[in-house]
Amino acid sequence: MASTSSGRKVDDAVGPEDLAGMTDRAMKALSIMLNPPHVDVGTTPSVVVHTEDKLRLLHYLPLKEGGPASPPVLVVYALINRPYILDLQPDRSVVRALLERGHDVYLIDWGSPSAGDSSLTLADYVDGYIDRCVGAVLERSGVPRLTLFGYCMGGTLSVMYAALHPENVRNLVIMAAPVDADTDDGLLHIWSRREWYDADKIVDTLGNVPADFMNLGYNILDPLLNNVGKLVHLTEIVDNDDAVANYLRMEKWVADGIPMAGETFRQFLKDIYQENLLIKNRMRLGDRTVDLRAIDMPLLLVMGSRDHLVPPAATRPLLEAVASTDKESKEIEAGHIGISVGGRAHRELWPAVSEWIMNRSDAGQPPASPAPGRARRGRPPRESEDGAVGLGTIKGIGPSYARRLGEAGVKDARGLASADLEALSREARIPLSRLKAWKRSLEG
Amino acid sequence: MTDKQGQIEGLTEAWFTLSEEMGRQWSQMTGSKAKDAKDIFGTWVEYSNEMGRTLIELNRGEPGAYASTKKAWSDWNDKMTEQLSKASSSGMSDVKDLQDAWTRNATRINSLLTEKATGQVSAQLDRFAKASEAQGKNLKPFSSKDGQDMADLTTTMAKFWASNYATVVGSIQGIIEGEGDASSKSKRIYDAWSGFTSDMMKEVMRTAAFSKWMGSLRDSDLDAMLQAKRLNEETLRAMGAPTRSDMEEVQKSLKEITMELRSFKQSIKVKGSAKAKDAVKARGAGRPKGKAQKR
Repeated sequence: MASTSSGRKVDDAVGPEDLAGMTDRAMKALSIMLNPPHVDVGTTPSVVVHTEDKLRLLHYLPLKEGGPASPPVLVVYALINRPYILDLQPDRSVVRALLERGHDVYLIDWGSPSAGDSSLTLADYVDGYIDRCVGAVLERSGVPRLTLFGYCMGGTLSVMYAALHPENVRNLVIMAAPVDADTDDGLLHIWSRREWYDADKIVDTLGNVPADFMNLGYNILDPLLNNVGKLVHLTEIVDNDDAVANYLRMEKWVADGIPMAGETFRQFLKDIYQENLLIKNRMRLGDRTVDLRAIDMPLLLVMGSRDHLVPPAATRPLLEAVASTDKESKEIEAGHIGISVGGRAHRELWPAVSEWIMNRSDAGQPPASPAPGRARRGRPPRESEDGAVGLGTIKGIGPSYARRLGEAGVKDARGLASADLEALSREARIPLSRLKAWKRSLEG
Repeated sequence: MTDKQGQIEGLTEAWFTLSEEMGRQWSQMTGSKAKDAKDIFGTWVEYSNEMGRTLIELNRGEPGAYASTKKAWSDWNDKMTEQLSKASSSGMSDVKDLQDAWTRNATRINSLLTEKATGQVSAQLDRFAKASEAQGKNLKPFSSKDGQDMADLTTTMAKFWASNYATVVGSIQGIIEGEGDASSKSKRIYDAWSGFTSDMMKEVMRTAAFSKWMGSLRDSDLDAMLQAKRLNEETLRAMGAPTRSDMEEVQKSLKEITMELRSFKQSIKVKGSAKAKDAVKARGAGRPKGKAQKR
């Protein structure tokens, strides 16, 4: 091996062939970026089983014969990007990973809100859209409860839903969801503090908050990686068609954001990121308070140790805030997106998550359709023994309220309609406003 | 004379020396031996011309001449080494002097060519290190007239630079002098430097000063957008035309009506179901109970 006077080895110096090859790859990479070829995403077959406004509820077709081996899993994704990140490519698809293990998978595709949707609130999403999707899934599958699986902001929405409607949730799986803002681990938590982040000004100016506006914030989290590093990476893989296709799928997803309804953005930023109300059990949705202690079903937290968008410190405190006794967390060395599309996640994490759900879902038992007139397990009866309309038909009455009403002598809807609400409020320890709302819903 | 000129002149001189020595060895061969070595001679003439041509271009400073020179030399050296080796192994003992002359001079040219390449990388790194070191020295805290925020921000940068700069330059130096091909070394150098700058930016971005700066930038953008929107809408109103805000209000109202209707339909379902049950009971019909109410 020759060496220079300074002792440097010279047999591996940059030669013209190296330079020519590097230039060639860089040109190919640029050409791909300028004219990206078409790539397919979200290819796992599904049918739309429920639509509402912009929302579509997808039901994935089973990949295994013999029907699903577990009660349904409803996937709730964020209101920011498209949910096909969970089905980006066949070999890195969370949806497919669950289907292959016999789960019955549903997913909410929120669609893209228009100007008319800017006044939608978190209550509209949680108590409205998600609740009706849960209802649609339970009706279709004929089971009393489902596994709710929320990712990112969809995880936060799922936490709220599970706290307000615990009777509908068999298991709760929460992945990389912001729940506790009292951390400096992620730059987003620092940047969104109310001292310098004026959510009102943003919403009052923009209405719905455009995807590009939000992407700017994500992009600047790691400007070198996001603007230079990924192009350098492309030059490295440019001769591998499969790797390039995977790269382009991710690029497509990153650029395929959707705006967030203005009022939802305002509430999410102020209540979750700035006031940290959710973890303090002080978050209000409509006229209801979200109390995390109402979450008593099995809970699994999934986090990425390198997640710089939602660091584990923003999710982990949920474990201590709930009443569940069966609860655990799984942390994998991955980033916010790597948890769902990373090779390691698909080797190690998803089989374990599937097993966790199966073990808590009477695995192997096909879901039985409820007999006509039979109440759902865990929910207050929809009909009382004498055929009167049960309290379960009234929105907002779960097992806990039904029990309290029953103890106060109100067994069905008719009883509620004719009750002295003020006396009932005192006896059943239920706010008068809530009783009035239930009665109003009966009166139409 | 610059280093670059010296390297080019060294190469040219080495080429002349090679030609001279090879020519001398050739002239000492007897006619019959030279005849036996005619293939070697042909190769030498053919490739030597190409090498000479590229060296002339290199001396003129023409773009790409260095790469052509290196290629011409590589082709020539490969062919000559192959032929000399073949001749030597086939019993042409007299060719050994030719082979020695070639090997001795080839080593020198190899060294000159590769030294130039390494020298280029090394010189670039040195220039970069000097420039960036100067940048680092300039990262002194701003004076009080620049405001405390800017002072905090630049202090963070300067502290990070002072603590980590020597480490990253050392690691880049280690990559250059270590094992590996040029392509992988380039990537590793990029990774080392971009990792350093990314970490520094993250430190800066964690400061209150940065958050304040980003907030004020965002707010001023929003102010500008709002002003532009107001101007547009006032102009449209003056013309009696509906504005975007008007259209959005209509859309919002429609949405609210849709949601009210949905809620009304749900309550009708509940009420209808209750009335139906009452009617069934009043008739005393022993009909089977219906299915649970759909949500």
